[in-house]
This record gives sequence, structure tokens and C-alpha cells, in this order.
Amino acid sequence: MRRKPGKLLPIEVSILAAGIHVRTRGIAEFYGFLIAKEMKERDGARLLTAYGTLYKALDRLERVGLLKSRWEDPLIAASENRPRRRLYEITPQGEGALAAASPATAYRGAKLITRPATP
Amino acid sequence: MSAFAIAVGAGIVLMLMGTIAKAFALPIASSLLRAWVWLVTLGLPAEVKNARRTEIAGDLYEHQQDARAAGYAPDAIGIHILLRFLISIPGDVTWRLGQLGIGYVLLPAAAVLIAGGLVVTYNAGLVHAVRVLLGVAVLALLITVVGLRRLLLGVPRGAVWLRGHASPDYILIWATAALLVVGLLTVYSASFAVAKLEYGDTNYFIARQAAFALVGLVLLCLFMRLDYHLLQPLSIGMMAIALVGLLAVLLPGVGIERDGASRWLALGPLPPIQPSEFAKLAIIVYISAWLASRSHGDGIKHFWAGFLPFVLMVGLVASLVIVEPDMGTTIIIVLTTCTLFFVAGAAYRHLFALILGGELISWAIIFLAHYRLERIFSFLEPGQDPQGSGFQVLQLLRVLGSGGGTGLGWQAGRDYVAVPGAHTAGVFAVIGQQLGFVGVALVIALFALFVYRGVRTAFNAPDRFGVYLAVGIVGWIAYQTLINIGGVTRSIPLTGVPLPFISYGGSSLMATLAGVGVLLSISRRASVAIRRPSVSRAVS
Repeated sequence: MRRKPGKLLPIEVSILAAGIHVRTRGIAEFYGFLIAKEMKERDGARLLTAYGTLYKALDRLERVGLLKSRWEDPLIAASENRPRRRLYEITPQGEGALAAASPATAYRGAKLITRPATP
Repeated sequence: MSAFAIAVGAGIVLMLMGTIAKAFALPIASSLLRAWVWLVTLGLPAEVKNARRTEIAGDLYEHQQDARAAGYAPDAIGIHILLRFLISIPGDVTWRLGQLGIGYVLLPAAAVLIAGGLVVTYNAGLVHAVRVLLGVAVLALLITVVGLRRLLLGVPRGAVWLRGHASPDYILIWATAALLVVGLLTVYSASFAVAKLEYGDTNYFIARQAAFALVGLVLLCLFMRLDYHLLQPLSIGMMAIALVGLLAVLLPGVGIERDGASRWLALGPLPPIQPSEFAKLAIIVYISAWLASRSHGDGIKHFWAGFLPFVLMVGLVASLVIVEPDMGTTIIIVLTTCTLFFVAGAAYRHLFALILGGELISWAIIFLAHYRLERIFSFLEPGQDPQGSGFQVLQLLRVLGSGGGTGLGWQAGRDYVAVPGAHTAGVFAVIGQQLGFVGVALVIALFALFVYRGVRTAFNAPDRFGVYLAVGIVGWIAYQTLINIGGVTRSIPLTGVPLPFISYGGSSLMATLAGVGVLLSISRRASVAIRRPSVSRAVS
């Protein structure tokens, strides 16, 4: 299953597009479940993306530099009494790759990105 | 009557197990997922391992919080987690292999399975190895059917907007084609001796089978091109034609009687057809359309509006087929339609009544006909009458078992004149003798691939009618395969149902291929979200 280096899988396009969409709602960084839920709603799917598929894709996107991630401050997680989140952010390269794969979405996203990302 | 008591007891135990599984679905699914993640990350660098484990634990937690807040019941969440987990298993395995640096190689897994099967074959015999594979298949099918029901009940599913037509599922097409090729090769090597003996022409059966396959492929292409939604208004007409056919078979002079059964209809110079094979497809379309017309699924739980009409419709068709008599086809029709009824959300009390009623009726039917009782005895004790009622079972077991690990080679088996049904219902035994465990495992893998892609089609279908239709067609082919191979391996009593795509028999082949055409038509309309369409459509 070798793929051309520059080519995105549908699931990867889906993640990037959902990530841009989440950002327009003022959430600059997303975590796994949030993006899965967002993708499910956007695509009208019945199931959340399978664990393996989702985290493998996130992993690959980070390795090729289209996403970057950091671990959430443990104090925040502890204060909300839940496991720590791994927070992903779309890099400029990620936006570029999405624009190349799907100009319409990126344009729609770009217009909205000009708004401040956080209130 | 002890068998009856055991069957009733088994039914009650199954229901109890179902209730328990439902109550503990969430904790079971969570624990399974955690155990699995622990397992696939075992031995990886601490950083990678902890990252993956924490991420999945977080996802599990957030999912439960979110779904509870949205008002989902714990068992519904549990099933969702379980399905998400099950779907992710192949991906996790390849991910783990990638982490190890072995790369995306599924061949080692297949090799392990084949090696395990060979060990069983050489130690306990090929028949046992096939039985193990059958057990795995039955379990997988059960999980799938229950999962489908939960999914459909959990999500209100109106018509979804169709975003263009995708291409059909090519993997489904290739699986069908491969099974057809295996079938033609096997039918030839199993039938040429009989053909020479009875018709003086070694190619008699294979030539006819090839012609039937061609007609079937034309039907497949037609139905694939046809928007399956057109079948909804046509369903009543199809059902009416099927009923006329089933009735005509029973008329002396019109129907042809062969070996004590009136299953065939003469069509002038054309080969006779078997209406019951086409009736399977007709009733699947008809019941699917009927279930889909009860859009919210509430009517189905109602006794007068749901249960009774269903029992009357299926009962009518089943009784017409059983008087031919054709027990095997009847069982397949009843099993398939009941699966549809279950998936569509039938009430458990009605399903229990169906199981109990079906059980009573089948025992009554078995006790009424002497030869059926004989079949049960020949299943339990084939050695009692090895030259009489147990003859076919024993012959098929002998032929199948003689294949061993790698088989005697294609056409290397002795001629099959003495083996009743070698090229029809017993064709699987011939595959076993000629290709051994390796060939048998490949054929079962092809059927599994077919069923997997078919179930995928059902999951992705854009509306309820599509889901029911796909479930019905896949269920029909899966049950028929299991009942056929189960009979040949003496796992269940032998009935004369053909092995889909492979056994000699024109009506069966043509009806099956037409059904596959409908399935492919549904796959073309699969909701864009889950399929892998072109990139631009995925995000529009």
C-alpha cells in the first residue's frame, strides 16, 4: 500500500476540512473525539470513524507536517476530572495541502479563518 | 423428542445470553477496546505506546460523556464502541505491523490461518477444519446482524440526499467473478463422467452451466445499471409473478416432476426453470419494500400491522415451496426474511414466537414426511444404513476428507459417478478432494469477502429500502452457503440447496447473479461519507 507522497487519502482530507471548520467556530486545537464527531456530523455517517483509522491518519498527518500536536496541560485535565487530551492544530502546510486537494473547501475555510481564531 | 427439548432450551439460553449481553454491552465493549489497545501497543517505545493508550482512553471517555448527554442508552453506546472497535481491528493490525517496520503485509496473518487449518486438517481431518471455519463464519454473521439492527434503530434514517452515482463495488464484482470461475472449473471436473454416461457428451453440464452463467451476467449488468429504487414499485408485480410460478409448478402437466419433487417449470425448447430460486429474490424485494414503507419502524412492533402481515406473507410463499417439496429453499426463505424482520426492529416477543412457531412447524413437517425423518437419522447415524439413506452423506464426507492439506489436484479425483450430487449440492466435497484445505479455505475466504463487501454495502446504503435489500440478498447467499457447506460436512442435516455461484443449476445461478446485480446497484448509491469517492466529493 505505497502511496504517492503528496496525495491525501479521503479520510485525511476529511480530517483537515473538519479541522478548518472547527477553527471557524473558535476552536483552534482539536482532539481525537471532537474531530471524529465533527466528521460524523459533516458526512452524515452512522458511525464515528474507527479508532485505528482515525488515530493512524492523525499520526500520519503529523509526521508529514500537515498537523502539529501537543499534550494538554495535565492540570486542566485533572481539574475537569478526565484523561489528558492530545491537541492537534492544522499547520500552514496543512491548509495548503487541503487547498490543493479540494480548492472549494479551503476557500470557504480561508475566508472564515481571517476572523480571529479565539474570542 | 429430546432433540426438540434441547432446541427449545438452546433458544431460551440464547435469549438469556442476549439480555445479559445487552445489559453489559458498555462495560464489555470498553474493556475489550482497552485490552485490545493494550495488546497492539505492547512492546512499542514508551512514547508511542503511552500516546496511543492515552488518546484512546480519552476518546472512550469523551464519547461516553457526549453520548450520555445526547440521551443515548448505555447499551447503544456500548454497541457503537464495539462496532468502531471491530472495524478498527484490521487497521490496528496494519498500523502495528507498520510500527514494527514489516509494512502493510496481511499475508503473514493469512499464512498463520492457513497453517493452523493445515494442522487441524492433518491431525483431525479436512472435515473438522472446515467445521471450525464455519463456526467462525456463523459467529461473525451473528455479530453483524445484531450490529445492523442496533445501528438502524439508533439512527432515524430518512432518505439521504444522493450526491451523484459512484462506481459499483469492484471488490464485490471480483469476488463474484472468482467464485464463478472456481464453480465452472469444479462443475466440469465433477460432471464430465456423469455427462458422458447419461448424455454421451462430456461437456453436457459444463456447456449448459456456462450458458446459464452468461445469461446470469447479463441479468447482473441489467440490475446493476437499474436504479434499485425502481424495484420498490415493481415489488408487488415481482411477487405476483413469483407466486404464479410457484403455483404453476404444482399443476400436473405444467410442472415437471423429477425425483419425487415438482420444482421445475417447462418452457418449451428452453431448459426448465425453478421458480423457487427466483422467488427468493422476489420475496426479499417485496419484504424490503414493505418494511421500508413502515418508515419509522414503530408499525413493525405492532401485532396487527407488523407481525401478522409478515407471518402471512412469508408463510404463503414458504408453504408453496414446502409442498413442492423443497425444505432447503423454504429454510433459506424463512431465515432470510426473519433476519430482515429482526434488523428492521421487530419486537423480541414476536421473534420469540417466530422461533418457537418455526420450530414446531418444522418438526411437524419433518415427522409428516418419511424421507425427511430419514434424512435426520442419516445425519445423526449415517452408518446405520450406509447403502441407503446414509449413502450420500458418507460418500460426500469420504470425498471431502480425502483431499487432505493440498488436495489431489484438479481433475485428479476419481470420477464422481458414484457420488450423488457431486456437481450440484455436493460440489464443495469435490473442491475439497481436488484442492484440499488450501483450496477450501480460499473458497470460504472468497465467500467471506463477498459477504463482507455486501454487509458494507448495507451499512452504507442511503435509505432503509437499500439497507433491507442489501441485507436480504447478502443474508440469502450467506445462509445458503452455510447450509450447503454445513450439510456436506455433516455439521447439519443435508438438504439439497445449491452452493451459490458454484453448484450446477441454471435457475439458482441466474437468480443469484441477478441478486448480486441489485447489490451492486445499491453499492453505486452508497452514501458518499463512508465510501472512498474522489477527493473533491468527500468534502463538498
